[in-house]
Amino acid sequence: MTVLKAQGLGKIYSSKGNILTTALTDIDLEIAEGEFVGIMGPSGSGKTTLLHLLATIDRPTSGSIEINGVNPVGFDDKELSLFRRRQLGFIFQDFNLVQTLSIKENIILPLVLEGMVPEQIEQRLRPLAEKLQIAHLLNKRTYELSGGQMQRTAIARAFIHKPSILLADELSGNLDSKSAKDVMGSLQLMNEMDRATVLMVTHDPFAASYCKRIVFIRDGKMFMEIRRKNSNRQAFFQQILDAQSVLGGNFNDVPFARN
Amino acid sequence: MTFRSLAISNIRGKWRAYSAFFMSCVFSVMIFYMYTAFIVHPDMLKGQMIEALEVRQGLIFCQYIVIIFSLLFVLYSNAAFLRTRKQEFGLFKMFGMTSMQLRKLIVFENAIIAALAVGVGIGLGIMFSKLFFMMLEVLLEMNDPIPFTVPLRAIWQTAGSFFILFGLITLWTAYQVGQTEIIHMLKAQMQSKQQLIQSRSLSILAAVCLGLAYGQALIVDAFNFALLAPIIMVTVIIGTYFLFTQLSIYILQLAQGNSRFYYNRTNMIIIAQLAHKLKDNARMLFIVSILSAVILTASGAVYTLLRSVQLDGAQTQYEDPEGLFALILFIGMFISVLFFIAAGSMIYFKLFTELREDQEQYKALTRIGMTQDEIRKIIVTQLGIIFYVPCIVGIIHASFAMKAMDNVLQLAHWSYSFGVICIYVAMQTIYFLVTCHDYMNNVLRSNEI
Repeated sequence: MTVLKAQGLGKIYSSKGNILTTALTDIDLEIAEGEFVGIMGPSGSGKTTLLHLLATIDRPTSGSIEINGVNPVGFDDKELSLFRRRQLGFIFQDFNLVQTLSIKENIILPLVLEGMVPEQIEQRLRPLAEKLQIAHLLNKRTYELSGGQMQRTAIARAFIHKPSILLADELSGNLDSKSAKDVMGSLQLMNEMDRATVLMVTHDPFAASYCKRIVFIRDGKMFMEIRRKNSNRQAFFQQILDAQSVLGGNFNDVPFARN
Repeated sequence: MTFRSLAISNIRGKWRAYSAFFMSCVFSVMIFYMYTAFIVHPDMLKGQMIEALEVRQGLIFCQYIVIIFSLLFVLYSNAAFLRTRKQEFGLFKMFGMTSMQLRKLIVFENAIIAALAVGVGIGLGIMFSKLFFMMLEVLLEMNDPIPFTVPLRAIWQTAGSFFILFGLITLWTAYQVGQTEIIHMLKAQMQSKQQLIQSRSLSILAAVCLGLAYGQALIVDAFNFALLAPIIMVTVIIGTYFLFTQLSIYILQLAQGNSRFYYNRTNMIIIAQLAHKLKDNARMLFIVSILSAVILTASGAVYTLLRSVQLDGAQTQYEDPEGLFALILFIGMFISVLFFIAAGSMIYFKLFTELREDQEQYKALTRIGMTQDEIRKIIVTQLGIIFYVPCIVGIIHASFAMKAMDNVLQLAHWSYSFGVICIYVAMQTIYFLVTCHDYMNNVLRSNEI
């Protein structure tokens, strides 16, 4: 089943003095349920723009997006907000946790906003927190957590309302290698155990090696696509590095290989 | 880039942050100028306007209040403003700016702000002084209008006083900034969002103190007044202090314990944020409550006295009771308005110093799909509580105080103060609406993705 379908997606920014900048041209992307897709590209290639369009926090200048069969093009601000919080789950590079809330409250926020009853909320929360190994942190405050723990909290928040698709933006960008590994492991777990559909934008080949399919974009256009053939992540990691060298451009702060 | 240009571009780039501090300074200067212009008015000095000795003394007493008010108000504004800039100073220091250079930067900045504030304040003061004089004519029941003049003496007295005031504040700031460690500056914001701790016994103490104070206020009369009055004052102040620092947070934590209420849509965010806001602002809310109580009691008392004089045709030992009461009314109103503006500005200030932090939070919430209506609801509820709780506490305090005054003076004009309370609530509402509108615009504007 197709969860996300983008056709002929384009974005042109116009700045003062009518200078037009083309950020994206003619992007076609289709993601089926349970897929784990990475989007990679050099800095300035348009990958973050693409994510913003798919996340409905920016509007395309051409083309169409369908998420779970719904095209949010005519939605007003309120409908878009509601659409986002029901259909999409977000994970950000800077975690985006609410400091005044405890870890538990941060995770259950999407359910609370939807008006779910407390018993049901608890039922959803427990198994998810156990799975992501943050059950012992639920009563802590955000500042008491490490980066990896915060990002796992963010994953729990993004997934607790069972969205159609999880959108992750450079989620390992602020993490050390050990935490990045934990976090990517958690995301993989969500994908494999709960059939969560994941779309992730990254420039980190290590994080990308957890994906099953990677779409490379350059200069705002689709460039190539690679798929993971077997379960060997090491081999896929090498494949990604090769693809990057073909792609050229500046992959900003590409880290050293991690295992 | 010279130091001077750094200071100037600092002010220009962060005008929003500076503007609240700047406005408070301008306001203080303006009030001070208008009042001084009246005191040193040529007609006034010649003694053509008011002859009664009591009146002159009253006016001079009032000037002392204006001076103390300006001093405290500017000091408070400056302290609040500096707290928001700790991180910035930490950053400058980390880049290798020496303490001496940092001090120099502060001196430059303050000099620019002081010059502008004094200039603008006196300018506005001159503009509005005729209006102020006209109000005085009505209040003091003068027959001849006070002619408009710009007394040079008022200008240099105002400018002189405020340059000295700013000089002292600058020295104090420069001294303090040089003393603080970089790490404390950089972590200034981190420390705030800890688990809230309150003590149950202190919460109970708050309730007991307030109960005692109110009880005493009801039984006070002319005979035991001297004994009870100081006890009431002390218990009310202790009770109010712990009401905001302890009891309020205790109540919110009770609300958090009720999951059916707490986990109901926006309630969670409203209460969790409110608890932190209350904790951070407890002392400010305490001061605002006490100020409100003072304002209401003072103006209520003045009004009640006036009414009873009119009604009873009271015999007094003064030759000119009308003039004297007009003066009391004037002083009461003047002080009330000053304190009212101070109380409102303190809240406004606090909110806008925390604005940036709040903007981040709302941005995060918008991105995960919180609607604008929900954000509006959260903001209106929170601001409403912050504005009206001190107001209500002040009204309750003042009501008991005025009941006590009725008992002591054996009057029964308690109900007159109701009008004063209505005016106060109306003014507070205007303040609330303006602040809410400004705040909302700022949060929502920064939220556009």
